[in-house]
Amino acid sequence: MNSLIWLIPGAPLIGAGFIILFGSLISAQICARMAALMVLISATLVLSLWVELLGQANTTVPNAILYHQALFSWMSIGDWKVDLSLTVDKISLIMMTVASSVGFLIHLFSINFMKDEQGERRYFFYLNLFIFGMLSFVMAHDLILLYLGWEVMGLCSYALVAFYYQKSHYAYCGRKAFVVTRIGDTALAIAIMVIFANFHSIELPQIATLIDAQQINPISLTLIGGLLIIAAIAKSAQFPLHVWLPDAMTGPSTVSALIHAATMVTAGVYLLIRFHPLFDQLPDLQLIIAFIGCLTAFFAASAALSQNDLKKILAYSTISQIGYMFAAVGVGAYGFALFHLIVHACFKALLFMSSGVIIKAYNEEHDIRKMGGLGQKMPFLRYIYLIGSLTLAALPFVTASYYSKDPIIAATYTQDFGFYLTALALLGALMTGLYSMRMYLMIFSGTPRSEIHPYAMSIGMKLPLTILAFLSITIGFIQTPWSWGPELLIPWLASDLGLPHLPHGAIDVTINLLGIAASLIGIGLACYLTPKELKHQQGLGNVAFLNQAWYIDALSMKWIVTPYYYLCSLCRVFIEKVVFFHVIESSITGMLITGHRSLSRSQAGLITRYLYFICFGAIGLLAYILMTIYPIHA
Amino acid sequence: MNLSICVSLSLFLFFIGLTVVLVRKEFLFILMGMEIMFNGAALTAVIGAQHWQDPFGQVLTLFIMIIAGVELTVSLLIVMHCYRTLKISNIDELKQLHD
Repeated sequence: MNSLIWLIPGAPLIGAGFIILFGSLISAQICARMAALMVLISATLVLSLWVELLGQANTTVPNAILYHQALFSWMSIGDWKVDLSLTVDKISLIMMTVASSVGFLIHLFSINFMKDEQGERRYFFYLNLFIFGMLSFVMAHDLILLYLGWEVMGLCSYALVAFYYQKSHYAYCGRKAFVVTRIGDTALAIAIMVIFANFHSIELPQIATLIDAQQINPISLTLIGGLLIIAAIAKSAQFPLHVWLPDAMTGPSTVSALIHAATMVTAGVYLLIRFHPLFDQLPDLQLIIAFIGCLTAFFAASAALSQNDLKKILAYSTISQIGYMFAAVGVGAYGFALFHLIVHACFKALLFMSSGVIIKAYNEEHDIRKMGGLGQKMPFLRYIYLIGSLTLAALPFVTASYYSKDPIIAATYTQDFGFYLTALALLGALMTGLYSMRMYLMIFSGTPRSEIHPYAMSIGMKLPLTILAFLSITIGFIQTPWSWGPELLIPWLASDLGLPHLPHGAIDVTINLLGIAASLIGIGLACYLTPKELKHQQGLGNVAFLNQAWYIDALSMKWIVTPYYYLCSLCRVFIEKVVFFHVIESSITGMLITGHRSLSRSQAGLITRYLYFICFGAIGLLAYILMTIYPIHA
Repeated sequence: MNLSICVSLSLFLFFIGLTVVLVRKEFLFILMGMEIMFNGAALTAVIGAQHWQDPFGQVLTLFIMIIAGVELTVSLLIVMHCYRTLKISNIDELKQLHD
């Protein structure tokens, strides 16, 4: 098995390479099927790793590297070299499973969903390349390969957001996503350099050991941690840098499902979990992460409340849910962050793929106020979407999200300023229930408010949705609170990530009850408010402050982007025109022109002048010879 | 005979020739000036031969005279052709290669 590790990220790369090189020779449908097959190979290999692993007993060794394969030496400088090698441990195994399995289901769904779209081959090329990027990111043994995967994901995200590039706004959204995440890319690149300068190593296990040895000065550690946080915030669309994700919804819905919900945006969470020994030593940074996470969970949930664009609701809910993961990372509950990541990947992929079908059924209409009444026409989709919405709302006891989100909220209470963190998280949970059910009710209940073109879903589209809906319900039962059911995930991960601190006794019960109450109140409020909103054409969707997401996009446009444009034009006018054109360029050309004029004047073609030169040269030579023969002694 | 007076004489001749070459613009005058310079140089050789009692200087002078005669033939030919084809007798006008 160990020798086949390379095929896990390799198969999608082969698929991508084949499509880009020979795709035009075969039909687009074959390209699509082949792309899905390549991801299926990866997913099967990952699942077989699980099978092999669960057969073994010795999985409690701390930070055990389960599989390692060195492929070849990538570059070597002196006696330092970068090996292209892949490593699988428990954390990356979970991420690989999510990326390959959900990735395969989305590929399967896309075969029919993207049928006869313009640029179908391009779509599957980027999708396969993305799976390669994600898998090499999570399987990377060293930081260089990790960075490669990170950048490949960013590129594919850009290309797929701007998939319908004929519309200039969509291309703009792609650029926006690219530029904003670029901030994080730069931070990660600098972080890698600082890590290398301090640790003299880029291999992840070695770095973890060195951090545990506590021999690096804390200032460097804080710098590395801060840069990693910036990288994670940009990639995972957290509070100040979240602005790209709502605009990234211009891509196909399946792209939103794969990249902007299930996998890529969770790369930041994975990065922070990967460096958890570092953050364990820096409680101040942990508090910052927890605060950013809770604030984002609250803020994005409030923004999602009054979105009317279906996909923007889902985008803000993604931001909000990743906020919970950040909060979990910040309070040291890394296992729960991973657990919520898995659950979120399942139900958000489900919701996004269904939203693609819904939008097609309403003839490319995104506004949920103009939808309604889809429940009678497409009952299958209705129940699937209901499961997704309820899981997003974390309906107690039934849905997986309840088992993953509530422990996170409880864990936030153990931290400093725990009260505020928990309050933000609970308010976020309440609003999550409200907006998810508002979205569901507006689409499926009532009478149609615009024409419906029932979209016949093939079995290839229904199957992934069914699997994901099944997982959204059942996957929660692998980790139940208070030991009343199986507890599989957190103890299994404890050897790598440690056990999270959870409150005990009355506080635990209280927070859990509050979580249940928040979810139920949210759902109840939605059932009460949504019919009213539809009746009066006035309601949550009209709150401009929330609809504009606290005006953060507009503010950053006004206070960051516009000044930056001014700075650029100032640079253009002052530095380029004045300094370069007038000062530097004119002085250099002036010098050159003067120089060559004086030289060319000496070559005037006048023989008499040449004669003068000859004479003076001869005199000068003579003088020099005489001086050397009879030196002047002072 | 005083050596320095003789050398000064030859130097004087050389510089007269040089001045003529540098100051006058006509081909013929320049050729004349060059001849005077040749003579100055040859005179040095003769003076040296007398001084060191070595006939090599006289022989060198004979060679210089012959070479100067040959060179003068060629130069005169060039000057004549310049005048015939280009209608030029002034050296400053001879800059056809200049752009």
